[in-house]
Amino acid sequence: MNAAVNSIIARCLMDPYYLQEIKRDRSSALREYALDTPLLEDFQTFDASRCEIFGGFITKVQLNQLWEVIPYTRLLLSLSGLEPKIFVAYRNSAPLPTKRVSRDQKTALFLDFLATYLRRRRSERFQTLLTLLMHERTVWAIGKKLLTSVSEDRKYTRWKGKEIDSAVPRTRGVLALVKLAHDPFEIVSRLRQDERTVPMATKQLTYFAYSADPTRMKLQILRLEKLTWLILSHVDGRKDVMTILRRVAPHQFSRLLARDGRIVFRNLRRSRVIELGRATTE
Amino acid sequence: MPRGDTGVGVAYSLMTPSFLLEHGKHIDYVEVPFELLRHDPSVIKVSDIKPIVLHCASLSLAGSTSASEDTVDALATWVRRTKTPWLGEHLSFITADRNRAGPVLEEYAPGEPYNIGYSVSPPMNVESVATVTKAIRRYEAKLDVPMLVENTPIYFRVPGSTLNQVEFIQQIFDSSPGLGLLLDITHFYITSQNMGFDPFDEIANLPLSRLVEVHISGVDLQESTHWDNHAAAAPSVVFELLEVVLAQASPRAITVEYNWLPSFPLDQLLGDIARVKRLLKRTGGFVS
Repeated sequence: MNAAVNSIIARCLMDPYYLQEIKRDRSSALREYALDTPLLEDFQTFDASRCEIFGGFITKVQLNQLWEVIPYTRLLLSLSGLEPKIFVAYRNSAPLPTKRVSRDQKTALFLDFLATYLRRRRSERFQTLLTLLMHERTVWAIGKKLLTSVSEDRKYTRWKGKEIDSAVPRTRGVLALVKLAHDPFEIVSRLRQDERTVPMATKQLTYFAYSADPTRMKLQILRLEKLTWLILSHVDGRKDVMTILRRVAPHQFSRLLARDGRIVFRNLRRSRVIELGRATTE
Repeated sequence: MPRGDTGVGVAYSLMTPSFLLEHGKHIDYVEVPFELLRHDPSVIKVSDIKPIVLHCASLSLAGSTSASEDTVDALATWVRRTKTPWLGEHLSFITADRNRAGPVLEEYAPGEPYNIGYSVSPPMNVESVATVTKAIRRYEAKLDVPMLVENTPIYFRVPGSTLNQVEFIQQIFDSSPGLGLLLDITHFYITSQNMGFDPFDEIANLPLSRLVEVHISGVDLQESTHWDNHAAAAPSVVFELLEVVLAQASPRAITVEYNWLPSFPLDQLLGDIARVKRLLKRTGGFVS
């Protein structure tokens, strides 16, 4: 009989539909197994919910690399009591792998799932978690891109006064622009002070640039004004400064002065987020 | 076994190579999973610095499906290459027969066993005792080193169980004379909390005279259940249980298993290694 019991437990752990069947109608779910009456009765007290959480626990252990990738998100998930639910939900949603996937692919799949899971929930505790997740996921993704990006030495051009209007800005290395509902550094700081309490974070839309220069192999995270963030979001290596400023201005910044925009571009170049080159003709 | 042989080691993690270079003097061996060596043979390089104790989770001792000949052959090869003094394996199943899942076969892998990828405690009854005993005989004959079995953490009662874990282990040891005990104190504590018994009352009922290796790691309490956690330090109660064990038994090795987090705080790891050594001295033992 043990072989049948092992099969049923394994099936509960591997097949979420079967586990739901066990929860819903145990007698029907067990009918296909030739169990004797005492064993059938014993299965009536089988704690299927705990078995389900055990499945989530297995998934969590198999994703141990997450401890490194999203340490504070994981801490907050744990403090909020959400960790078991999240891993059970992920295990139930993810099909069993049919081919080998890399460790990074496994990480990315889980992070995508978690972001979607949190976005669908409106309460504040989920949104705080989403802020932390977006922050840590961006840092991880930038690090991965940095390893494969090529550093290019470009000739430094000096732009005086309004000459800069015709310059074409390009991002240096790897850049990610992220708009977050809270300040992730405030959440991290509170978690560092007290690792046992869920921190209350101030809700405030904050704009960040995560920028990494392959020549320095260093990540910098800049808190930006909305204008700067909008300007950067238009930088594509093709549009020149004035074109970008015109694109930005009609929307929300009708009183934007070209002078302010030029200062923004100079500051971004000084911070090594962008470089300014001449337009190329193809 | 003489108390003077007690070594203190760590379970292999990504931090182990650098840990050995800077702090190798604090430990006597590194415990390495066979599955990791099979996947990444370069891990054997740690044996240039410290002896390896081999651990395994592939034999599915309490399972209805046996480990493949390929797996057993690979394991035997790694037993020889690592020169491990023994092989520790879990008292669990990791695969189960899919054909017994009734008429509906798995569409993509018909007839192949379920591979859970994690150790699961079996139904604890005389049938499982016989299964485990038979499996141990099979593997003892194939491997050139003594086998140890490790108590698995129990998270829920498995239907068909008629014995508690201590009785289950006792019966297996009664029928396997050459078998050694790998006592994971954290697993034992977790089981006691989830199954509702006092670990301090029960621990002496384990076959401690056959104790060879001890594991310690951290514990999580989530959803009213205690869970294994190798990313956290062992709680005080685990050290208290270790002290009780050391007062009655002389293990050859004590492994600190903090291997789920490569950036595990170094101070904590070194502190707990030192704490284990202090306990050994206090209970009359000697650190090798």
